[in-house]
Formats: sequence, structure tokens, C-alpha cells
Amino acid sequence: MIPSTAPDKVLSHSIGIKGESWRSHEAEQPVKSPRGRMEFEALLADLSAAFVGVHAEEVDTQIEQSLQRIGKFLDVDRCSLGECLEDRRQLLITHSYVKVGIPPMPRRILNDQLPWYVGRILRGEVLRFNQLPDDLPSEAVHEREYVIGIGMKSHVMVPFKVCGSILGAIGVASFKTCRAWPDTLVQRLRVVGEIFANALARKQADQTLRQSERRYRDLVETTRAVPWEANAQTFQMRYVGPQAACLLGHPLEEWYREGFWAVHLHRDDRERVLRTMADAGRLGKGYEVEYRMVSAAGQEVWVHDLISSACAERFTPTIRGVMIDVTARKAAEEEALRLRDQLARVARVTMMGELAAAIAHEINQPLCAIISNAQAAQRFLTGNVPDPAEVSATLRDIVKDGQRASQVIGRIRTLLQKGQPARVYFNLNDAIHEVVALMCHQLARKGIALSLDLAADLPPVFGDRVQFQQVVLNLMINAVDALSHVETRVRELSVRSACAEGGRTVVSVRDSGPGIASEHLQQIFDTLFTTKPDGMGIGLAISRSIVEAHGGRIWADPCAGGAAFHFTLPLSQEAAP
Amino acid sequence: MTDTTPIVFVVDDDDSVRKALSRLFRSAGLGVEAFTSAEDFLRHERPDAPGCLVLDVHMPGLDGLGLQRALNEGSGALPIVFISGHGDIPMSVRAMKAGAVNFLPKPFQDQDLLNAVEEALAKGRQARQGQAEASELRHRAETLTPREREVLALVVSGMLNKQVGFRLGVCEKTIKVHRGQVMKKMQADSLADLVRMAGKLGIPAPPG
Repeated sequence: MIPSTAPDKVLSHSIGIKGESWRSHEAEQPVKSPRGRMEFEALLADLSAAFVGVHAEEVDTQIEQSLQRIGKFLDVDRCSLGECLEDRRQLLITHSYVKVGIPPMPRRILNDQLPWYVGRILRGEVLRFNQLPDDLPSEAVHEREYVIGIGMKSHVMVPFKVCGSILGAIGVASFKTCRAWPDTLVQRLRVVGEIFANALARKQADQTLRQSERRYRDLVETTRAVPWEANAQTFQMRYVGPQAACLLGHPLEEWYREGFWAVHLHRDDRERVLRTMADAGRLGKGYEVEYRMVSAAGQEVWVHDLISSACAERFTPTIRGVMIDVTARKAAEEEALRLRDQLARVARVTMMGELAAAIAHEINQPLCAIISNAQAAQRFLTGNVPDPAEVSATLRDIVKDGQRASQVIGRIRTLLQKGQPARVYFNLNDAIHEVVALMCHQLARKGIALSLDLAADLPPVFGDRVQFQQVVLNLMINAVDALSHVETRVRELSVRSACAEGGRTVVSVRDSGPGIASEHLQQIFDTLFTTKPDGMGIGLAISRSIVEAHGGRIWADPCAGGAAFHFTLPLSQEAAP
Repeated sequence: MTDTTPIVFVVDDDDSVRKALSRLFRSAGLGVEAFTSAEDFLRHERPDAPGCLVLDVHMPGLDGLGLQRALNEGSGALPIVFISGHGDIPMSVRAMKAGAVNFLPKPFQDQDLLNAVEEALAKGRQARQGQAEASELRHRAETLTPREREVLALVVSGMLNKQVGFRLGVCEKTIKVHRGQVMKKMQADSLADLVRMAGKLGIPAPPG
């Protein structure tokens, strides 16, 4: 008896039933009788109904129960369901029912052991063997061995599909007798397969969805950033991640109270932040804003808020974002700033050290004049003909020279001060003049011709006056050093101030020294880079740091016959960071 | 040579210092002329009067030491008192070696500066006197005849009249006559005087 294959093998589900030989038990096939058919139909309807509304985790149990009912109804020894793993060419038996006394079907993989069998099933063929092993073709060597080994007498396996791809197969087996498996049976088993397939598909979809949900939930709840969703107008929180409890030390429920977030904003930041949030909600753009909140313990907490989206959720304007606690980063930034200011002061003190001789001289001149004048006045008073007019003039000069000395000291003290950097509006040209005054004696001594080209109509600049002077002083000292190498041509130094576009001023210091090698143009502003044998290499690095902190830019030009350094400064408070 | 009021020339680029120094010297009864730079001073025509120079070392353009060098190389040497705002030792040593009278760091006591100026003026006077003397001697020497010059040179070398006569191939009597002329024209009081004059004139001993 050759195995017959159902004509619709590729398109239908397949259910395998193992039963007795058709020769002797035709009349006993339950499905042939009208009553049997009705009952089977009723069973099918029942099974179908049973799967409606079944939860994903109950599907497996339900399948097992169904297999049991079918097995009992058909009076077979074993009824099992397999899943096709097509990519691996395997048939995995996932569910089975066995009659009492029959060896159980383990959950196993049929692959290389039964290659012919698995191959046919994976192609969608219904396999019907009324009599085993006779009904097996000669090439099914392994299969023959297998069925003889376990004593299987009769078997039918019906593959089924959902949406065009093979999902699985249902097999039914008999170990005691041979049976015939009629087409109607195969068809009905196919229907059952469909039911199982749907249920399994639904279970799969459900599992995937749950996995996805679990993954997102994990991400949201375990990340250090605090995700949130809020009403774009009232800022009422609709969702806030559980991490929020750690952010401020308030229990999570508090965050959902009306106005909680706004109330806990630091009062200096409140106006700016509320404005930004309102903009984000209206314009729908991604914003980033940093602000302080006040924790339950009264501490400042720095928050970096990334507003990711704005939309309308059920007709309510909504914004979503993520808050990150950056208190540690802010503290580090502030510390870095403080250290930088300290370093700037060290650089200033060092520069003043370099100028020490010049400074001493600047003070010595008026002192010398004062002493000589006073002594001259004494002589005038005790001389043959006392000359009050001359004495008077002398005293006036003494006062003037005293003030001059005092000014020099004042300028130096300002540059050496330790105080906090203070940003004000100041007259840039006046500040330049003061620096030039400090340098003028050195310039004279070294035979350097100074030219000043300071724009008359410069508006006040916003920034730290002392630090600005430090930059100019640094550039001038560097220029003087460069010029000390010049022997043959004229030593020229020029300082220029002018308006630049975009509401900035630019200051330029130019010298007629040896110039800068083009490969060094960028490097010279790096820390600890110096071409001077006893230089520290922090002057220009500090200058860059100061200029950039003011929102400006500093750069060097190898102009013809020398070098030029330029830096820009903003004119208004808004432009300075 | 007229002996006029000594003049102190002040050269310093710092306005306050220059003014104060001028005042100081005036209060001590000295004449003052002040200049803002070394170049200015060199350009200015100096009166023929005793004087000295009070000079700042560090100045733009030609500095103090440069001016000293220029004056030494030229004929217009003037005694110099240096003042300096820097108190630089190597520089002061150079200045002194090149003939400065003194080197004072600022700020200085008025008396110290005035003493230095006094010393400089005295040196200046001496120098002027020496120059005047030398000039007069040269003038007198020019009136000597060639033969008289020869006799002068040999006499101051310590030769007796007889020896001189022998050397020149002239009899002693003639030598005595020449010698008398030399003494008269040079206005020497004694042989020793003549020897001194010859030294001042740079007349060397003849080989012999």
C-alpha cells in the first residue's frame, strides 16, 4: 500500500491520526457514521470556542487539552502537535497527548534522524501510513528503523499553514493496530490545525508585544535620566519616571501634584525656564535647558532638561522630555573656572614679575623728583633771598609727582588683585592706555617705536577689565620679547582698536619681529607651549581662555615682516556667555 | 680765557626729574641747562664755560653710555655724573671705567649729588686750566727756530752744553747762546721748569 497524499496538501493544515488498518476496521471508523460526523463537528466547534478569549499564557494548556479530547474521540494512542522550524529544517514536537500505558512523546526535535519524514512535512505534504513499516517508501531508511523500534503501527501527519507559511503539523499515531485515515478525517484535522495555528499566532504576537513593553519599561525605569510627560500649558506631570524620587528626595506621588515641578524650580531660574518650556510647547522644537531645582533637603540640584517632543495627546498639548541630574558636573565646572581664574592670576603675577624692573623704575622717577624738589625747596627757604613763589611751584610739583607714583602703584595693584572677576561696561581705549603706560619705559629702553591706533567712536565693552588688560599686557610683553631679536631693522609695535562686524570690537597687537612659523600658529595658544627658553607657556593659553570665556576669539597672523595677534570682544552683556 | 659761572648740563627724558634737578642746582646757585635727550644735547652749541654733565643712563635713542662714548671720542669731553633709575652694577662699572666722575642711583640725597657735581666742576676747571696751559706752551714753542728746538730737546735730556755742542757740531759758546734764547722764549725760570715744559709738550729724549 503506497502512502497517499492529500490533493490539497500544500494549502491546508494537516493533522496526523494513527489508527487501525483500513481493511479490517473500516466499519469502525467513527467519523464515517453520520452520528460520528456530527459529533466530530460538534467537537470541532467546541474546540474552536474554547480558544476564544484564551490568554496567551493559557494557549499551551488549551492545546494539550484539545489534543486529549481529539485523541480520545478518535481512540488513538498518541496525538501530537509539532512546530516547523523551517530555517533549521526541523520539526519540533511541542504538545502531545498519550493514552495511558503508551510511552509518552517527549518534546523533541525531529531532524536528521528522520530526514525524509521531516523533509516531506516541511514541504507541506500530508503523510498517511495506514500500515507501518510497510507503507514507508524504500528511501525512508531511518524512518523504517524508527517505527520498528518503537512499535508504531499506523500514523498520519497533517501539516498546516497560517498566511501562506508552514507553521506546524499535527500527528496521530496508533501502536497496537493499523488503521486507515480517510480524507474527511484529514480535512477535519486540518481545521483543528487552523484553530491551533491562530491561537499560537496570537500567543506569539502577544509575547512579542509583552517583550517589547517590558523592554521599554525597563529602559524607562532603569535609566538614570528621568523621563517625563507633561501638559504643555499647565506643566502638570502626566508621567514621570520612578527615578524622580531620587532626584529631589520627594516621593514619586508628589511629582503628580499640581504645580509641583514649577514650585520646586530655583527662584532665579524660574522665569527663564518657564518661558523656555512654554516656547517648547508652542513651537514644538527640541529644546535643552539647564536650571536648578530645590531638593527636599533644601539643596540646589542642577538639572539638564532635554525636551524631546511636543504633540497633542487627546487634544491636550503635551511635551515630553528627560531630566538629568548634572549637579556633579556643574560643581566640577565651577571648580575648573575657579582654578582657571587662579591660574590667570598667577600668570598676571608672573607677568608683573617680568615687569618688576620697569615698575621699580616707574616709581623711582617720581620719587627722585619729589626728593630733589623738596630739598631744593628747603634751600630756597633758607637761602639769602627766600623765594616763596618758587617754593610754591615746587610744592605743587611734589604733589603731582606723588600722585603719579600713586597711580602707578594703583595700576599694579589692580592687575595683581585676587578678587572675583567682575564684569562691567568699560572704556576699552582707557584700559589699553593704562597697560601702555606700564610698558612705556621698557619700550623706550629697548628702542621700540610704539604706535597707537585706537578708534575714537568705540562703544563700551562688557567684560572683566583686569582680565582684558591682562590679555593686552601679555600680547605686548610677547611682542617686546620678539622684538629683542631684531637688530637690523626698526623695532615697531602697534596697538589698534576698532569696531568689527556683528557688534564686536577687535584689538590687534602687531610687531616687526621675526614672526611666527606657520606650523605654530595654532599651537602657540596651547598650554605649556613656548619657544622662550625660560617661558612658562601659560600666557597665551590663559589669554585664549579669558577671551573665549567672554565669547570672543583670539588668533595670530603671520603678517609680512612680523606677527600680529588679534582678539574680539562682545559689546553687550547678552553676547557674553 | 674767561671764567664764567659754571653750568650744569642736565640730560634726562623724564620731565619731572629734569625739572626737579634744574631746580635743585638753581637753589645751590649753579647755572643749569636742561635737555630731553642726548641727541638734543649734542646738537646744542655749548658756550665756552666751565661745566659738567648730569646724565641719565637709560634713555630712548642714544643712551647715557652712548653719549659718554661720543664725547670721549670727540674733543668736547665734559666730566660726567651719571644718575640711574635702575641701579645696574655692570653698567655703573662700565661708566666709571670710561671716566665718569660718579654714578648715583635714584632716588639720591641732594647733598650727594651736589658733591659729585662740585667734584665734576673742579675736574672740569682743572682740565680747562691744563688745556689753557698746554696751548700757551705750544704757542711759545712755535717761536723757537729749528736749531733752538734741537738744543731744547738735547738740553732737557740731561746733556751738558759741551756735549750738545759736540753732538750738533757747534762750539759750546754758540750752544750757550741758543740755550739762553730758548729759556727766554719759553719763559722758563730754571732748567727744571724747562724740563717740565718739555714734558708737557711731549718732546721725547733724543736717542743716544
